[in-house]
Parts: sequence; C-alpha cells; structure tokens
Amino acid sequence: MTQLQDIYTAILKGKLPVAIELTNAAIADGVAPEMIINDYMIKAMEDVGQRFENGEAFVPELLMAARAMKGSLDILKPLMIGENSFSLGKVVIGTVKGDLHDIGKNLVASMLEGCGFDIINLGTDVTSEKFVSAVKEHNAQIVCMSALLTTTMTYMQEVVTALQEAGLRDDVKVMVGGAPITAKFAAQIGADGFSCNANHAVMTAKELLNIN
Amino acid sequence: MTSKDRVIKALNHEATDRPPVYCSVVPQLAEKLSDHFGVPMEPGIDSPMSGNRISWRDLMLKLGSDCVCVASCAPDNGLTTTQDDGLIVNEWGIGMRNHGLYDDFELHPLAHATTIEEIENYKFPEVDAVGRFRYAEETIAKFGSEYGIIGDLECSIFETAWYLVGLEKLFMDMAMEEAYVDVLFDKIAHFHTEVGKKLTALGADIIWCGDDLGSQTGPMISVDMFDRYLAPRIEKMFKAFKEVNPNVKVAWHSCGSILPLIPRFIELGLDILNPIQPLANGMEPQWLKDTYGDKLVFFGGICVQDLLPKGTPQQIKDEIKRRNTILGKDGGFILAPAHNIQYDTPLENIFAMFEAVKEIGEGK
Repeated sequence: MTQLQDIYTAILKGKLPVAIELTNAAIADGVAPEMIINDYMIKAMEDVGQRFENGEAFVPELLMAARAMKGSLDILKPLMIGENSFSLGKVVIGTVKGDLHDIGKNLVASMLEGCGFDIINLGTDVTSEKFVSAVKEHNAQIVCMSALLTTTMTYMQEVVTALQEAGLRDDVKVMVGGAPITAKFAAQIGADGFSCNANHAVMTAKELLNIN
Repeated sequence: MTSKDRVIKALNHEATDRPPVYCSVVPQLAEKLSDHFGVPMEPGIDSPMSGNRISWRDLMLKLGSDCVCVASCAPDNGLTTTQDDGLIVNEWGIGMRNHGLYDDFELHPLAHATTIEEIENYKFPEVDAVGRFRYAEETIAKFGSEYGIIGDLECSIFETAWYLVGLEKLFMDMAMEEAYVDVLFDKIAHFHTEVGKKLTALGADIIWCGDDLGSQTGPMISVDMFDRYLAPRIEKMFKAFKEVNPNVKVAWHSCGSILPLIPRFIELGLDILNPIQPLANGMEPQWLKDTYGDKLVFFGGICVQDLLPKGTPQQIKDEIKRRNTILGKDGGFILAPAHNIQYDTPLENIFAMFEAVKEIGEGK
C-alpha cells in the first residue's frame, strides 16, 4: 500500500519524479484521486505556502513544489470527470497591459492551482478586453491582476472599469498584486482583495469566495 | 570641497558639508532632460549590463551628481545588434525586445543547457577585447581627479546567469544542485572579477557589484542557498579587488528586502550597501543605520516606486532631508535614487531632489 504521507512529503520537498511515482502507485492501489489531492497534495502546497510566508521557504522551493504538484495533478485530473472533478473556483489571471513581468504572477497562479483553483492564465501584457472576455468565456469567479511597474499599475483601474461596464463586476471578485501595489491602492481602484505574496493570494482568494 | 573629496570622506564615514549624490535615469527621461537643458540627446552607451548606469553622464553632472559611473562596454567586435525582426542581441547572445518603455528578455542563449559540456562550449565574452574599457579609460582620465568614480559591475553572478538560462530554470536547477550551475557561476564570476580588477586598476573608488536577490517582501533565495552558491564567489571577488587597491570600496546592489543576507555580506567584506529600497519590507533607515552604520556605507535610499514619481517637490525635499539626517549622520551615505529614475517621474521632482541636497549643504 502506498504511503500517502510520502506524496505529501514529495510535494512539499518538490521532488517531481517521486511525486509521480507515488501518485501512480496510489492510483494502482485504488486510492480515490480526490482523496490524494485534497488530503495530501493541497495540504502540502498549503504547508510550503505557509513556510514561504514565514520566510522558511523561498522562490526556488515554491517553484519546485508547484512543479511536483503539477506533475501529480496532470495524472489525477483526467481521472476526475463530472461530479468528481474538483475546483474551488475559476480564476482568470494576467499581468496588465504594458507589463511583461510574469514570475510573481506565475507563482501566484501555481499556488492557486496547487491549492485547488482552476486557473486561466492570460500571460502578460493583457488588455482590459482580454480580461473581460476571459471572465465571460470561463464564467470566472475571480480576476487576478499583476503589475511590477509603477507605469503600468494604473491600468488596473481600467480593467475594473471595463468589468463594470460589461456588467460583470458583481459576479467576479478582483484581486491585485505586484511589487508597487499596496492595500491602499487596491482600495482606491475598487479591487476586492490585495496580496503581497503567493501564499497570501491563496488565502485572499478563499476569503473572497467564502471558502474555509 | 570637490565632489571627489566629498565621496571619499563619506566612504570613510567622515562628515561632509552635504551628502554626495549619484543619479541615473531611464533613456526616456534622459530625452526629457536633454530637451530641458537644450542639448542634443546622446545615444545610450553600449554596455550590456550597465547601459543606464553609465549613459548620459553629462546630464547627470549638470543636475549635480558627485559621481561618475564607468563600466565595461561591448567591445568593437561584439557590439549589440538589432535584428530585422526587432530582437536586440548583445555580445552574450542574450536577446531583448523593446515593448515601449522597457526592453524585456526574449532569448536566453543557454535556456536548454543541462550539462557542464554545454557551459564549456558556450563562448563567454573576452575581458581584454578591444574597446572593452575605452569609455572607462577616457572618462576616468577626464573626471577621475574631480569626481567619485564608480566602477559598475552589477549582474555580477546570479543575474548574468539567469539572463543566460532563464530565471525559473536557474532557480529550479539551483534547488536540484544541477552540476552545470557551479560551472556557469564560476565562469561568470571569473569574467566579472577580471573586469572589476581592471576598473580598480584604472582608478575606480568604488566597485559596484550586485545581483537582485530580494523581492518587495523578502529574499528570493534562502541564506543556505546564498551560502552554497554565491557567498564563496562573492568573497573571492571582493578580495581580488582589494588586492589591486586596498583602498577601493566594494558595494553590493540588490533590489528588494534582503535583511537576512546583510550580516553575510559584512562577513564577506562588503563596504557599501545599495540601494536601501525604501518600500521593501524592513529596509528601514534608522534600524539599518543603528545596526550596521559602523560597518556599512549606505548608497541610495530615495524611493523611485512612490516618492519620486508621485510626491510633490516639497514632500520630496522633506523626505530627503529626513533620510539624510538618519543615513548621513557622521558620513557613510551616498544619496541616490533607489534605482534608475523612471519615466513617470516629473522633471521638477528630480530637480527637487538635487535642490534638497543643495539646501542641506547650505544648512537649510
């Protein structure tokens, strides 16, 4: 019988080959995919996220854990169709127009995905039109915007306005982040949430959707 | 008191009439400043790692800078070229594309490297290539006796490495201890050590090394990873410069919050910490001065994320005077924007920064 706790450890320590091997073994043993994900993999991502927040894990460790998580999820997700599919919610994420910085944004996307959200990653240099059409197309519950530059952060306001004009603002929560972004700025532009790091982004997303 | 005297005294933790100043700007601001002063806009200098730091020297001196910055440049046989498709490729084979205000990375020449052999086969730039130090030699000959000379050597190890292989890949390969990483770091450190030795020999007062290791909230890598990969190479580098000139001061630039790394840098022989990014978590001037002021000179300290682009001239003057009172107490401070001043900064705010410094000198 597979030691499911070892899957937890493999994700936490970012060991991709081990995570894949153990995931395949667990499936062969007949363990339900949702149990592997919910009780072990997501918990491991939450653990590494908390360590990141506490200054005990850093960007490389987060990237390695997310990579191991993704490797296992790629095996498990196709096995979970229909009622068994798991998702905490759909998140459209992108770096705003004029800004090509995506490392922080991708870390947030990886953490959200690792912790159970469905991610629609629009990449960088994303216009308000693209944000709006992705929210419509995917019926997203959250929009996450990122900016590194002081010259591009102001564009976030335009996206919020575009969501309002498209009649979507009441259906979707808006989160913002990035080096120059502050809680004050988030409030000024009418965003619902702000986070200063990838772990905090997961907590904020859960709070906004009232997920415990 | 000449600018040079002011810089040297500050470096030796001696009080001066006012803090010495260094300043650098992005190209679009250089254009606005050129218009303002009624001089032709000069093209940026072709220096793959130091372009903005060393370009528009005369504009910076006109503003009131006490320092002149030099660096190694692209040599005659390795000039940066723009391909037909717009990709800007420098002598390292690193490709950038302009997206309006900024050039962003598009081509990492070692993006697929996994073996030591691939690193061995990559042709690193030659330190002694013709033209490499022409700008540095001419500039030091002209300004060396009057101004503080900064030899810029940023992107010393880690940053050049990720420009070559890509940041996420490098982070993960460091975590996995891929064997090629050590060879890559050694070769980059060797190139920059030789460049720094040459700039020291030419007469630089400061060798300004650096790699961005901090994010807005904290270090991007652990102290263990810093000790494993960077500390020994940085220590060797600092020692090499002091062997050429025991009086040269070594600076380290890292954007962001790097509090846990500061004691390490002091152990490695660091003299000057740059840029004291004001909005980065915990980079608090009073605490830094109280804790490390006897060991480190602080270089920077003026916010380019909020204060300079968004403050009023009066707010800027007040904040600069406040920061100087803290960081500049008994010398040990080179006042500078915490990075190249960005395009969203009004010119009057830049003038306010220099006026504040002038007023400090006049006792106002």
